[in-house]
Amino acid sequence: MRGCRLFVGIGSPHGDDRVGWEIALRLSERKSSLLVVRSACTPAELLDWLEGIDILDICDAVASNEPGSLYCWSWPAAEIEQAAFRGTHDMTLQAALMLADELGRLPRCTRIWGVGIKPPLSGDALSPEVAAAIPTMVDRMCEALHHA
Amino acid sequence: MSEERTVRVEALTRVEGEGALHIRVNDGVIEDVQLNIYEPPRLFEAMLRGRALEDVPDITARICGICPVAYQMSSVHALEAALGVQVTGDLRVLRRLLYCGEWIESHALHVHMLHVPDFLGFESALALAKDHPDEVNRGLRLKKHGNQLLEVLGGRAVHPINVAVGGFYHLPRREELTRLIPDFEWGLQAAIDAARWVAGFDFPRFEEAYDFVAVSHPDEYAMCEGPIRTSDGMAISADQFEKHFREQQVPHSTALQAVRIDTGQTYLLGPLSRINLNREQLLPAARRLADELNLEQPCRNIFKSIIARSIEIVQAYEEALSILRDYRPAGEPRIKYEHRQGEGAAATEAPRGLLYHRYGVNAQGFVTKANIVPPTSQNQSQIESDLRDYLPALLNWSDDEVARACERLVRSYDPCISCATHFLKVNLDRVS
Repeated sequence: MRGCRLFVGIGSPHGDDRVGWEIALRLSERKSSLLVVRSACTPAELLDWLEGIDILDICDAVASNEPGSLYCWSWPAAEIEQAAFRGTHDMTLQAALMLADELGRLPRCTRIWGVGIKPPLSGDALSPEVAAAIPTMVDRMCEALHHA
Repeated sequence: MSEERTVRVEALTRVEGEGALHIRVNDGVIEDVQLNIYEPPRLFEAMLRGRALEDVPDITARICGICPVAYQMSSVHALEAALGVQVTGDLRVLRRLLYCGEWIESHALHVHMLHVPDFLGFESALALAKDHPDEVNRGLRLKKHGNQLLEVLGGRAVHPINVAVGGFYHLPRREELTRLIPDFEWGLQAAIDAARWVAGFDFPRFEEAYDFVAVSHPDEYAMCEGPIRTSDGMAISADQFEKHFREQQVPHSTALQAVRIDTGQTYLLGPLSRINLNREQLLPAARRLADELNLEQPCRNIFKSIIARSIEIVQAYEEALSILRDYRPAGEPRIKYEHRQGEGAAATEAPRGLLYHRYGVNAQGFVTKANIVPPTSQNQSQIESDLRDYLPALLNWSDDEVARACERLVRSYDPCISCATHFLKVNLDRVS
């Protein structure tokens, strides 16, 4: 029997940093009863949402020289430490996941999806490269969710 | 031969925002203590001028992700004063409920994740979680309850969007609030347990002759309304604030500091001041707990702020539960008003202390002037004063130990630097 699945898109209103929110919006439009979709401003927020969750998928923007490049890691993954998630908040995604793990809250399967972006400026719109990558990312996630 | 010593904390940790501490000691004499707030000014007041007054609570909420409700409450009360509007009855009660949510989430976060590690010798909440998972889980659950209240009543947990001049945009349904009751019943007892836990910690012996300042109210533990009182007996209305308290610029900080105009002295805001000035107005469970924990009256040890903060979590749960049980939505979500030229001020109690706003508005409903004085900037010079008095007892310690002890004192204030710039590196210079 499949457990409860949670997708969290992390982002901000600034340019390509909103890509996690955009992907959350697209996933919620697919209306899967198996998937809870949420948007977060800070990684720490997901600590509130893990009760009863079996599979956790998180999507955030990743600093990259190739805007629109797509990534997926299974937690724990050495690459995540090197990947510069562009959170400006106190608790990084890595710290939030480590804390969840320490407290026994981490789901049995946690995946982190990244979309490469260049550092955005306040008020920027989504860049064409990142906007073009969103449908592919959503398809890949749906495929992974289907097989989970 | 004299000895000069410098202790630097390049980036203060477990505080909200970014800042540093620089301490210079020459031959055993503290020559300089600077709380360096270097986050860039955020110029919110200038941003507000020319905007429709209805935009103000949503814009000021963006000043802080931890205490957005405080900014909304001070702004709407000040604007309502300018418009001659008074929010009473159920709408007033719902505003207190929203503020309870913020106190719970902000205080629970600070107590469990930022401050407790200092008392138990851990570098971080992550390290604390290895040895005290139940307590950390409890803190996270309390914080979640606060966020849930903000979600239901404010529209979302961070930067809520439902607060309007005159009331709210939308009233929650009764069942949206009543379904929170079981969690809040659990939370009240958990908050009492947490307060008993922190009251058992070892506290440094350090007492100061603080001038406590807080909003007070004869009938309730003040949050949104009431005169501003000081421990030396002054009582003024919020619109007199700028006649008695002065902001001043210092070269080492992008945040203004503040002193009392009549004495030229620093003053203390926050949970310790509130409990010292308003203890009689605590609800029964919170008051009994303050007595049971033998919290002195007044308590002059800033390190015991963690006890005061924990008692205020109990107070917030107790009040929230009472409101949740009695809530029956009725009437309009907000009071109608006409635009008119005017000026209004308000002071409300943010988790970190008194937050003052003043606005001028014109007959077309646009903001003509804005002044926002956050609690951390008001506490900043008091923090420096505390450090000057605390440091002499530490001078035989290593630089690392001095830095850690000073950071711990600073954290007792739960400073929100992002609000104030609107913190922490520590540098200690020992001159020889």
